[in-house]
Amino acid sequence: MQTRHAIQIEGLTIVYTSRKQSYTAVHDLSLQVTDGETVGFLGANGAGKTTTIKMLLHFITPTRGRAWLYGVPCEQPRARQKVGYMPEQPYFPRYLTPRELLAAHAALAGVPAHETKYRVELALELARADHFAHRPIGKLSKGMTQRVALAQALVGNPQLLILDEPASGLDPVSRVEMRNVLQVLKEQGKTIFLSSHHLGEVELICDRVAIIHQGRLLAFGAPDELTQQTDRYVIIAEKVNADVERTLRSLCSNVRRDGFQVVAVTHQEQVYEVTHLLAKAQAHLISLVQQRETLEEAFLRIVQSAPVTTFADKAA
Amino acid sequence: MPRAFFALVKLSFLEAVRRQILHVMVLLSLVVMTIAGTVSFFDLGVQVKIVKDTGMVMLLLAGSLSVVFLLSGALFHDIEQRTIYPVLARPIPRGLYLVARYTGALAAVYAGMTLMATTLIALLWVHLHYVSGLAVVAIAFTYLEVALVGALTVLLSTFFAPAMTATLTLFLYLLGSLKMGYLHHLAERNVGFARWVITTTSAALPNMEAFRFKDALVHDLTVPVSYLLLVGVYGICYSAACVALSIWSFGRREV
Repeated sequence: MQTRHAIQIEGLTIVYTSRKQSYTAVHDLSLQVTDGETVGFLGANGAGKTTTIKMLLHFITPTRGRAWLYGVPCEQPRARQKVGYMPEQPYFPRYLTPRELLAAHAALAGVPAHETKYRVELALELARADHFAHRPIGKLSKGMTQRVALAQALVGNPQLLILDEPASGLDPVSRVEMRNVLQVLKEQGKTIFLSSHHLGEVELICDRVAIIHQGRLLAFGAPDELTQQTDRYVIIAEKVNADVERTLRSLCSNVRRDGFQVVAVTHQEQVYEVTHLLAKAQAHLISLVQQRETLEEAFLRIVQSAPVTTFADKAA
Repeated sequence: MPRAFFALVKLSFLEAVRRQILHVMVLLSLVVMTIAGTVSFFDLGVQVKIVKDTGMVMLLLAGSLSVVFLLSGALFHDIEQRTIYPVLARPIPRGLYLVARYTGALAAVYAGMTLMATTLIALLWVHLHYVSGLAVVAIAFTYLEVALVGALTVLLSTFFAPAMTATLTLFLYLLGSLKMGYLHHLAERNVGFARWVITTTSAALPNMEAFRFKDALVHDLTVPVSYLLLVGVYGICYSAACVALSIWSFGRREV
C-alpha cells in the first residue's frame, strides 16, 4: 500500500520537553505525496515545516507517528536511497570546490565510480552551477551556494527531492532561475517536496499544497481547491469615453487604460450598475470574469481562520 | 558503502590537515626534537638517551593533544554549522559518519606523527648508525595510544560540548596515565564495596601507561612479545569499545 507514495506521513508528532514544560512543534501530521507529484509545504516561520522535514530525514525522532519514503520507514538509512535534500541554509566545507563536493556526495549517494564524473557535471549543469564549479565554496555568493546545494541534491539522480526554502535569500533573477530548474525537474517526473515562503512561485509549479500552521496541517489540496471565488469581478471594455471612464473610477477599483481597452475591478454589488453604464454609453464589454483568490490570499484566509493557539496551549 | 566511507574519511582528513593546531603541534615537536638531537651538551650515550626521551615524549604529547583538539569539536561544529545535514540525508548509517570522521582526523594526526617519527628515526640513525626494533615498537604503540585517546574523545563528544569534551578527555588521560600504581595501592588499602568501586574504576579507565615503552627504549631493555601482543589487543579493544559506544550514543542524538 505504501509503495505508491513517495512520502507517507501518519500522525507525526514531536513534543519537546524540558523540566518545566513541554512544547508540541508538530501535531498529528498526516499526508501522502504521490510519486511524480510536486507538493508545496507552506507555513509561517516556526510553523513546523523544517521540523517535519527533519523527522522525514530522521535527523530527529518523532514522539509519535511514523513516516515512510517510498514505502521504507524513514528511520532506516535505505529510506533515503532515492532522496536528494537541499537544506534551508546550506553550509559546506569552504575549502572544497563545488566539483569536489559533488564528487564526495556522489559517493555518499551510491553513484558508481565510473558514473561519478558524468553525474557531477550533469548536476552542475542542471543547477546552473557549472561556470563557478572550480572556485572554492567559501568564495561563492549566497545565490551561487544555493545552486551548489541544489546540484548536491541532484547528484545522486534522486527520484524524490526534498527542498527546504530553495529560494531563500535569492535575488529575483536567481529566484526565477531556480523556479525554471524546478520546472525542468518536474517535467522529468521527479517528486518534489518543497517548503517555501514564496507563495506565488509555489502556485506556479506545485500540483498540491499543504498548509501547516502552529504544527497542525490546516489544508492539503490542489491550488484550485484551496483558493475560492471572490466577490470581485474583472471587467474589460472597449470604446469607453472619458466621461464613462470617470464614472467607472467611482464605481470600481483598479481602473486602468490598456491601449484601447479599459480594465476595471469591481465588487459583486456594482456589477449590474457597471454593465448598465457601459451598455448605455454603447461601450463594448469584452469580458466579465469573477476573480479567484491568489494562493497568498487563500493561505492568509486559512491561517487566520485557524483557532489561535497560544504558547501555553501548545505547552499544555 | 566503502566508497561512501572513504569519501567521508577524505573530507574529514582534508578538514583536519587544515587546522592550525595540528601545524603548530607538529612544528613545535620537530623543533624540540631537532634541538635535542643536534645541540651537543653531553657525551654520545647521554645524548642518544635524550634524543629518545624527548622524541618519544614529543611524539606522544603532540599526537594526543592534536587528536583531542581536532576531535573534541568536530561533531559539535558539524551540527552547529549544519554541514552534517546534507551528509546524513544520504543513505548512510550515522555510525559510518562517526567512524569516518574519527578515521579522517586520526589519519591527519598520523600524517603529522609520521613526520615526527621519521625525524626521530633519522636522528637516531645519525647518532647510532642503526635503529633498534624496540624504537619502531615504541613508536607504533604511541600511534595506538593516540588512537585510543581519539576514540575516547569521540565518545565524550557525543555527550558534551567541545570545551567539556577536551577537558574530560585530558582528565581521563591524566588519570589513565597515573592510575596503575596509585589506584592499585588504594584498592589494596580498602575492603568491601569501596574496594570494588576502586577496582572497577581502575579497570574502566584507560591504562595509558601500558602503551609507553619510552623507558625500555631509553635504557635498552627488552619487552616480552607476549606483553606487546596483550597491550596491542587491549588498545584495539578499548578503542573499538569507545567507538561502538559513540555510535550508540550518536544514533540516539538529535541533530
